[in-house]
Amino acid sequence: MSVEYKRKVCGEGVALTEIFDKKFKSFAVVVRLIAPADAVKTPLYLMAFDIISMCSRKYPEKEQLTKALVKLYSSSIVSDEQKFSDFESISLSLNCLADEYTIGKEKISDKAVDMFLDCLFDPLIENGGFSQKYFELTRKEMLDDISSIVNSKRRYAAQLAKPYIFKGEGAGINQYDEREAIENATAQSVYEAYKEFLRTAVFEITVTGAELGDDQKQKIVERILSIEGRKPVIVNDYRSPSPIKSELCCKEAEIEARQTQLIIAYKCPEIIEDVFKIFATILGASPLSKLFTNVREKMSLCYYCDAYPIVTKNTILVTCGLDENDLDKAITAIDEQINAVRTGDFTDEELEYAKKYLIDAYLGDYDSKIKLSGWFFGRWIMSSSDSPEEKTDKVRAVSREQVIEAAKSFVKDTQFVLKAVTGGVEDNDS
Amino acid sequence: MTLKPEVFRSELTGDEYHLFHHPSGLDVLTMPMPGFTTTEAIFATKYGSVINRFKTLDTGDFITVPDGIAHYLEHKLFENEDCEVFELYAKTGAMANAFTSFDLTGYTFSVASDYREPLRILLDFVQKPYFTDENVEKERGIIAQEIKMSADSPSRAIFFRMLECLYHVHPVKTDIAGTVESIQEITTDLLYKCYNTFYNLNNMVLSIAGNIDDETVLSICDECLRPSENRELEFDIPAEPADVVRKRSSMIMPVGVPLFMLGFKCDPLVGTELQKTSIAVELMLRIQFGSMSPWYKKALEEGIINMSFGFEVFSSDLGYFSILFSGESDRPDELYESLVKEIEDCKTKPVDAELFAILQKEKYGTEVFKYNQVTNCTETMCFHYIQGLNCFDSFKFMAELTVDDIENAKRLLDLDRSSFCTLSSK
Repeated sequence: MSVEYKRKVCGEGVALTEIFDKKFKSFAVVVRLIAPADAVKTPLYLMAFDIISMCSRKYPEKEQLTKALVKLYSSSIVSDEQKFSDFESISLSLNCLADEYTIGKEKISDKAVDMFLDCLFDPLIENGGFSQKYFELTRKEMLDDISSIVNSKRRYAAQLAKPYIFKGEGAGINQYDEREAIENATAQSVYEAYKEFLRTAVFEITVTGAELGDDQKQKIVERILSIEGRKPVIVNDYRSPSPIKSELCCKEAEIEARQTQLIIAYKCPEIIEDVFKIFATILGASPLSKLFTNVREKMSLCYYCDAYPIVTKNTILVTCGLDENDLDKAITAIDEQINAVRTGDFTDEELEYAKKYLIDAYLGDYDSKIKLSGWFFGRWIMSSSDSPEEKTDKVRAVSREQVIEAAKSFVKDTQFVLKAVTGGVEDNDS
Repeated sequence: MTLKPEVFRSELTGDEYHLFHHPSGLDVLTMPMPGFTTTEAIFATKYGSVINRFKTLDTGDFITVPDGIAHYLEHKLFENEDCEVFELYAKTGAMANAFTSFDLTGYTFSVASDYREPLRILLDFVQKPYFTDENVEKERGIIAQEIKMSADSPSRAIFFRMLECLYHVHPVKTDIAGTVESIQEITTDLLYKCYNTFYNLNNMVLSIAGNIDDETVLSICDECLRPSENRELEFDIPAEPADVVRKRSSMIMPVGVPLFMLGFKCDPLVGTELQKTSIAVELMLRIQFGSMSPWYKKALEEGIINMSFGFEVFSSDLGYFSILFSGESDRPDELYESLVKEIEDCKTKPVDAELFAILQKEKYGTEVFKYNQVTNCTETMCFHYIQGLNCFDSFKFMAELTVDDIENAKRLLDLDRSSFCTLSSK
């Protein structure tokens, strides 16, 4: 691979990762701020980052900022969030064409980086808080988003199940828990939270894709290092295995819909990442998995029945959409598939296919700036710096016995059912 | 390699792709992308949900098939006589998938290692149907669950309600997967009839991009493609009246924030005219209603829309062209009034020249970004080909657009041919 990777710790809680590949015609700067998940603070941090992605002191109106970015060949500045383990990563990122590929090699990267830093560090302030207008817009947007969770029954079920699966843990905070903090926020309290976030968060900066000048990278790092009163909350290990409950927790809720949603969480006390991922793949993370071939294809019970590994929490989530009448049949069938792996009832080919599936997925990340940035961030969470290529050797080394042992160590911890009750669409036309 | 390609090159970005007319009848689109690891392919037939009445030399007279059969066929092709197609792919590490749209069915793979075997598998299984009464029956439950899953989605519900309001007889108004009832009528025999009609290589295309070279792709095509005889396919899409079915409609189902859609029915177009008009309309919409427009700013600040607001040109050369606005709004009636006022006003005001110029420049950046991603290249080549177009023409057409084109595009927002739908909770 032609990727060049470099990581440098620039100061306490500040690191810069550079991933260069000349095949890319653009670069992405992602500044991630990491803090423990918190039902009150996290939504305020999120609001702050949504606001600063829309305007700055120099560009006080959203459309002014958008126009200025569009003039830079469709550059963009966006905020994003990612929950992992019991933590929250909130980011601001810049996506910009490399100077070499603009018409007449026009130099735009300098301007784009300056605009990005202005958004991040020089927001529009009024009366000791963020702009009231953008605060109100963001608050409405976040509340609407929470209200709309119900539009996707799968997402709704996942949000309702979370607090039961990860009871009392950061990972168990759902968006409904954050609603109150959003409703009570003010432009001033969000600005205060923003300042606190800059002071206390760990900064992970990645620059990915086409080459960005050293001066510009230096400018980003220096600006972060110059934040006054920095006291980052340093965490040595971001993994946080979820405690296994003493007995199976079964919960239910209802919704007017046509399809019932089932979520089952299995947990184990200890994992080896690569073994865990192979187990999840054999069980239900590929079209040749046990859940797909048996629960969907042979039994025709559902359209989807997947297993999703949450490595940092030692948890696998199995999710399925089905008719309520088939619920017991599906639960039994899912348990049977896990038992099959536990008892070694899988072929060497299934093991080999799972490895190939994972390896191919890893190597595919080389072709996307965003995926590469996410890859190395994910590695950092796991206290590793393996490239996708290096990771493939570890996947190949996983043995059949390790997978069986891993499967045996998983315990059914939580079962959540979102039952579909009569309802659905009604015509309101006169 | 004896086949000579038609070469399409973007003078602006330097990107290039090739079209080969393979002797089997299949057209093959290739875009080698040096430095990239992955290869992605789409093997597609020009057959989607809107084609449900057709004839060939084999069928004699026109036959009508149940709604949802193109999608059902897509599911069923993944079963071979001797094994599951996914098992074949699994040996290679490739990720396979498929999709059915209104006008297209495509089979895809993505692989970061050697692409030769996945390509052989793709070409082979799509040409080798194996339908039995038993395996056709088994699929019914899976597809019924897929239909129910879609039926629980408010955005999908309002989208199809909008199409029902706009179109009297055009099959575009029917869900791609059909209904739980319509799929009960699908039989092995009907699936074979549709397969033999539409999965003829003369009606198909292979689009492949990434870590490839033309010679290898063509040699695999030589090895795997079984020549198809042209069976003189004709299909019949009913003539659609110009007017809409209903001007207003409202639905009730559980939803977080009420949804709305405003749709404009336009005359159908084909080929270059379709592409040019679509580009002009999209640009006009961005100027008048996009995130940089005064209307958007006002509507957002007044709270009658949120950031889910959007618009699109929904069209194909199979007889439909409409302009759709959609999003969430707590005050859908107020929003409707505001949109209507802006539509009327914009027809009397000149086009914002500054915004027009900015958006033309933006298009250059968008083009460079687009052809620097393998998935985008594969899809863009395929989708343009299906409409009989060259990918790079869109940039050329954009550069050639004049203010008059934008003014003409505004005229397509004809309120007499529009419908407004809302969806809210009880």
